[in-house]
Amino acid sequence: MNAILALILRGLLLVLTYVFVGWIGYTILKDLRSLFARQSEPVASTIFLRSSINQDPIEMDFSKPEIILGRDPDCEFTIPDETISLRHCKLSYHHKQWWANDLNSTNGTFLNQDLIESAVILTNGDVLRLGNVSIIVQINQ
Amino acid sequence: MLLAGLVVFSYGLILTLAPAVRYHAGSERYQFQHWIGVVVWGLSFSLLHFQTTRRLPDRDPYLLPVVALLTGIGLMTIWRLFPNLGMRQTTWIAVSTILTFLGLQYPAYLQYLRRYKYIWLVLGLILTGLTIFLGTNPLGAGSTRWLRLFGIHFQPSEPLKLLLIAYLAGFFTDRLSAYNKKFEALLPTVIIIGIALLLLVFQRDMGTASIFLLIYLAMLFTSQGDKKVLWITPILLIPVAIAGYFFIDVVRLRIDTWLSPFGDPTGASYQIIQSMVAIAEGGLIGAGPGLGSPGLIPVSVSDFIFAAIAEELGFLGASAIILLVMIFLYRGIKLAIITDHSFHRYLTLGLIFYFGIQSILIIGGNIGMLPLTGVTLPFLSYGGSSLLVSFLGALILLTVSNQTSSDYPTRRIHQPRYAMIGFLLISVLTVQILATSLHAFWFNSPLAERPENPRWIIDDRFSKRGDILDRNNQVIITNLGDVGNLQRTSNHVPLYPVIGYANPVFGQTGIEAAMFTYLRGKTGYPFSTLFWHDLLYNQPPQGLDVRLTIDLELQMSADELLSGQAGTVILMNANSGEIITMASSPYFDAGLLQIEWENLVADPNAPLINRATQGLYPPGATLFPFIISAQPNLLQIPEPESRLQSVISDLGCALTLEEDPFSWQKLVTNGCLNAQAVLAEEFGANALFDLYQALGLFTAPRMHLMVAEPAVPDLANTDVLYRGDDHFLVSPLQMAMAASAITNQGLVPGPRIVNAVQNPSGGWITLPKLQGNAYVIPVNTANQVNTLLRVESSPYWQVISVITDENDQPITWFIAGTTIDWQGQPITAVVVLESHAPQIAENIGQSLIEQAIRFADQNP
Repeated sequence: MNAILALILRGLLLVLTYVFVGWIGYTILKDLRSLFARQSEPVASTIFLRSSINQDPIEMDFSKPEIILGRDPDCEFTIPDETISLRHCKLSYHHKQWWANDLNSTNGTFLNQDLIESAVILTNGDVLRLGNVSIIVQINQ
Repeated sequence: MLLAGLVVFSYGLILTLAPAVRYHAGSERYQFQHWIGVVVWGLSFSLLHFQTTRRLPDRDPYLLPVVALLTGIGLMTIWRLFPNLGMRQTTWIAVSTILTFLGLQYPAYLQYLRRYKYIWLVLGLILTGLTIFLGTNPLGAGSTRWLRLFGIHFQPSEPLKLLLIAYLAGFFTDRLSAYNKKFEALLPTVIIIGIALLLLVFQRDMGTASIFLLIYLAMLFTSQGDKKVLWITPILLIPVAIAGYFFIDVVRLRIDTWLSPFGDPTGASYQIIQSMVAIAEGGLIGAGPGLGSPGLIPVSVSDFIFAAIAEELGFLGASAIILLVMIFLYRGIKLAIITDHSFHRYLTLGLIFYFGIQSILIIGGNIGMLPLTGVTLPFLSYGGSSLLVSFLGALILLTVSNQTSSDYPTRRIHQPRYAMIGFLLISVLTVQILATSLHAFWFNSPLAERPENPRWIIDDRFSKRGDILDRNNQVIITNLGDVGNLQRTSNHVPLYPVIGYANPVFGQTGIEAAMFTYLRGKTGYPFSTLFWHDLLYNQPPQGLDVRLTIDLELQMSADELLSGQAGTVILMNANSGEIITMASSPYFDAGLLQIEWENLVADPNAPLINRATQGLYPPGATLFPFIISAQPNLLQIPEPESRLQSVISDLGCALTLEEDPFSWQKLVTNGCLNAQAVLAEEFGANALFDLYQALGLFTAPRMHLMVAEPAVPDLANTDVLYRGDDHFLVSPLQMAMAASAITNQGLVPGPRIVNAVQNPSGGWITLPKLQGNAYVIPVNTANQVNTLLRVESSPYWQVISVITDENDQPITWFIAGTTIDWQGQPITAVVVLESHAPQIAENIGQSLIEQAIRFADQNP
């Protein structure tokens, strides 16, 4: 009798553990799926960034919906300049517009000489200034 | 969270029931002490849950439940293994919870951790360094990696891991400029790591050292953005590993046993084999908590807790553990990806590496995939320092996750490198699940049946073994004691050389070895019974009784006759091959093996050997009757003298011949070796070789006993064939079978000692003989020889001989058998004495065969 009870409990133990694991696994899966779904969303507009450091031109074309600018080599647009924070500012595409926002950088981000305090919309030909570095923005609609 | 609670609650419930199941007893065997652990665990995590909900509303919701479940399963496993350690672990959980609670109360601790990173780190290093001078070991001996403070043992290398991660995270955030990849910039970290590694290597803590190194390299890789690290790492690690192999004995030992786990199963690779066997024993769903024997694995509560869990919860339970670790790592990696603070990111990464690498190393070590490193499995293993550090690590992750905005779907994986490392860790864990399944599922029976698996010893104490009975169902061997402490006991100790023993230390011999599975109920029951017993109790059912062909009364008198001698006696039914008596002297008492083993092994008289089957003796003139049977025409020649002119002065007889005239009868029965040699030479070596082969003198008989391989003479060495001495050695059993051919019309019977096995419903099933009968000598010839050798006015024939073996030890043979006009079952007797004692041998032999004849009269 004890043995059968113990066996049932053993089954229950395993089932409960797997319900636990399965439940978390399911939410993670859902989460991942939505992440991938968003990532595969096409970006309607591409952005072209151009800058130069010590006469070295840095130019890059992006079709990603989110671009981080900073000194960190993991950033999408890496600018090796001491006045720039590791992760300095973020450009993102949503609501059919490109937006720029500062990531609490030390020296701040300026759009056409105005300090960015909250997300602002970028237009073709705008100039971003990060620390001492200017970046020309070209947007292809 | 509630689910985790239910899991641990049911684990606790099973542990309550388990002893009762094991002992097949009622509620008096219920166990309740571990409920302290359940209650403390429940309170601790309720508190933490409450506190996190209050203080960290934006935390990662999965981390704490996963930690809770892992800790709960670990705690219950520790309680099950060693209740006193379970109590301590419970205390540590309470302590860790309080510290974590405080940490949740003051989340600013992260800033302090970062700001004073050097102070913290140096403190950690000093503490670790102190172990070199002041280190102790809680077990009293072994490596000294612990510090003792107010009676509490603490392992400083554990918090050192955390401090190191915090230091590196701080360092990489503050100092590391993206374009300053030069070596000099990293110098401080290299120095710090070097010091830490030196300390650990000095303390022979290779596991922690390798974790440090791997964490460092992984953090370097993720923070530096230099892909070179990825390639340099293995290039650097291989020479380090090779150097370690040649200069550090522990490393060499670990790597050797990893490469060849079955090389030294009782020594160096004992741990890993026990661990793999335990996983194999677990199978798919496990033996059940409290029902397995994971205590057999060394250090099962800390290093090998994964194997312990795998044995009792099975492959499914073990996989669940790995899956939980994977979820934990996944959540951590994700956190590292979405967090905005560099310090947080590096800290999270470091912690993930710490949890991931440590889990991978020790799980890999448990399943034999990686060299064994004596590190703990985070959250699960016993060990206060490790548990505390794991909790604090989880606390940091929780705090960080709360300070990270959770609108991650709008963010992107902008750090593919982290994802890659995370993917790597998770894939290694997946491979480990597969490897575990190999042990637990696909190849579990070869592992579980390894001789190093000692679980049968435990089973023997809990399940009754079958009795061993004589042919009249008189009990020879039975069980003594209660369930949980069953022991074997014998009603006739002198039979032990035949019965043998099944001992955890000294091995298995005799009937106990040959009928091992029947006596333990593993063979003979229907599959369904075995399956249910295994499933419900993880024990085989009650053993089945085994009936021998031995007659206990005859056996007793044979043992009595043989006492004081070194030698053996066999009585065999010449028709069926049934062994009625098998005595070997001196004997031993298997019940006293533990006490007397040293003496028994050292005893020159070798009492442990069953001389009847394992003793080998030169046959000498016992070959005479067979040689005669090969040339029956000789018997027609009335005067043997004419043939024996060359040796007439020295016939080499065992007993002095009476006056002339010689007769063939006297020459053979008295074992005149020189006469035998002359006749054998006439017959020829080739023909003799064939004859001996047919009689089975060159092959070990097959039966349910261990039998020695005879020493076969070289055909070119004719003298050995003629005289039956020197390298020509046979066992008394072989001789009894050959002599049966003379007793019973030329038939060499296959021997049989196990008569039958009881089936579960009480009937008896006769086991087939392992070797069949063979007709070797023509019936007429056999009968002729039988009649020739007949002892006057007795119903039996006999031959006595004495031969000196290679060590100048005289060996006396007496072989005899019933005559052809005997109406009952034909019986053959063989006596071998390891001394020059033809008279004694004859007395013993005659007395026995007369008894046997009376016995056969009574038992037709």
